[in-house]
Amino acid sequence: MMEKDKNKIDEIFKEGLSDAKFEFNESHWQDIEFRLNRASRSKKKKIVLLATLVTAMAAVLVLFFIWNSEEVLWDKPSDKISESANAHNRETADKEPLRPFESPFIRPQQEQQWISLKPKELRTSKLERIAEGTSEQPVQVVEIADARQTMARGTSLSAAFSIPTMEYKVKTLPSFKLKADPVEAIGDRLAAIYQPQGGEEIVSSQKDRSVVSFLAGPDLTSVRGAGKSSLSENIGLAYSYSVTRGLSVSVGATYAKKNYKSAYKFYVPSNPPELTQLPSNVSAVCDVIDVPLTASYTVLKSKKVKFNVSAGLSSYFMLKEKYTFDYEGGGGYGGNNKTAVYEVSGENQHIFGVADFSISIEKKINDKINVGVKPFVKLPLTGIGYGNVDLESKGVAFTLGVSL
Amino acid sequence: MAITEVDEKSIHIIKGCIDGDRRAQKDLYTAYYAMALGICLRYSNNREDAIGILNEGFFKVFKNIGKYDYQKPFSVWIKKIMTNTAIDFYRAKIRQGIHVDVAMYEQTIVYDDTVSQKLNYEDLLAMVHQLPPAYRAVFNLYAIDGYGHEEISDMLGIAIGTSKSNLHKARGRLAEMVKIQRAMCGKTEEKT
Repeated sequence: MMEKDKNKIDEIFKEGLSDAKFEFNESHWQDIEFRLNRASRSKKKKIVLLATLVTAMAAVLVLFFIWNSEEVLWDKPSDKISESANAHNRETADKEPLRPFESPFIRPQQEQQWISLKPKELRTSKLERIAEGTSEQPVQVVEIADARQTMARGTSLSAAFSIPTMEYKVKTLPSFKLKADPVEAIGDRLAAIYQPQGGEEIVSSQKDRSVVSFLAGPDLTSVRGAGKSSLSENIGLAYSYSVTRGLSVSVGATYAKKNYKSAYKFYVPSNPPELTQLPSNVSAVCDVIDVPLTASYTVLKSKKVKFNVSAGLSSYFMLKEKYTFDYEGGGGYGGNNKTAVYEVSGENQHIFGVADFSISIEKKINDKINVGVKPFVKLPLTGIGYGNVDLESKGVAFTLGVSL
Repeated sequence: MAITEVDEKSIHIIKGCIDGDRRAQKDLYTAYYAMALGICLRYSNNREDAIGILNEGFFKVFKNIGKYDYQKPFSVWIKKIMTNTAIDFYRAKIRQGIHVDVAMYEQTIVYDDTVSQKLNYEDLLAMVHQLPPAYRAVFNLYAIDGYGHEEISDMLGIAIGTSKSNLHKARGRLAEMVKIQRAMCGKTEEKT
């Protein structure tokens, strides 16, 4: 072919096709306007969803503190208290027999030495209105040997003070007799309070027991970008093994019936059929076995309640996939709107194809059983199913755990 | 009327689009409608597909307008987005199994001087539409939009040799169609 001829053809089409003149079509604008409005709503939805998630997290935390009637033991300080308490205990074990869990601050009246306290200088206008009559009431004064211990058992120490009942009918302030206690003894007594019942329990408190959990709950499944979410159900079992204090590894198997709808443009089948007309929408119903492998870390823990964060990978084993293709205007099938159904069984597996994130709050019912709530999100790392779609799930699972 | 340069009014419209102002978006859409639809029609099989590409392209324009560089002509930016959207559409069709037997288009290439005679827009567009999608995409990109074979091979995911071959075949096929068209026009003129 001559170079001149090539250029001639190119020029004819370049010039001829450059002066396209089309009248503006309002309906075309309306199509995109609808899409822009939908995108705007979707953006607002995301903001609402984010706000809901933040609120849910806040609610979970509030729930944690409400459930947790005991003090919250933060991991590191509790360790130190325990160690400190044990050290004290070891040092004093030979010197003096201690009676654990019996309040060391309450002693018979006759053993106390009373000192007088006359806080006359502290008079205020309010106090000056006090009526006549003075009563002496015993108040124990203790000196704090160990600041950390004091923080840990602040409530107990406060309780040790016998606050005088103020008789407002008397005119003058009461004078108190306070007892001076030796500093060394307090540390020992605190140690006694913190002393575990047995050596084995020290080990058990540092490493949680393995737990088998039954879980069930709904989720919203959607194809990323399609903007439509459908309700799906999950039910399964998980085994959690404690690796170290606060850190555990879980493996499980969950049966999920995933429903999702999207436009066909999100589908990228590996073996596409020979189609003369593309479907407009696809509805999918898939039976999936989800095998998650996750690591969990206990962020907050008390005697009864635990707050965990988890991350891991899930493998999807697609048991059965059923796709219903909708053809607008009948497509290649003629006539009005038609549908076609395509089913596959056991053809698709996605090993570690989904990222798994969750937070959970667990409440101990008794020594063996706990219940919990677990909001989760599953994000695809690979295309899922026949259509290789980006399948996302956001939901909440309710758990019932049995410690082994 | 299309915005030919980034003047004050254009900047005002673009800023309105950045703010998500629907009226500004409509002004922009109206201004570039004809130019963009012309590009989409060249790459698509039919008008319906072209409208789909057009709105997908404009959606990308509105979504990414914040990234537009004011130093460059806006029309060039919008043309690039439309072309890329059309190519994405073409590639999606290929992935979704729309296979076109290009062999049926193979014909002997014959050139003569009649090809130089002027043809109108509709005739030329109809000829481009008769090309197999793979030939049409390469011809549009190379002959009309000015891309090189290396760029085309990257955009379409084909070998450079395939790009050259497809262009050669597209030209041959178009030349044949132009010749037939001219012959038909000649016969019509003789009758009248």
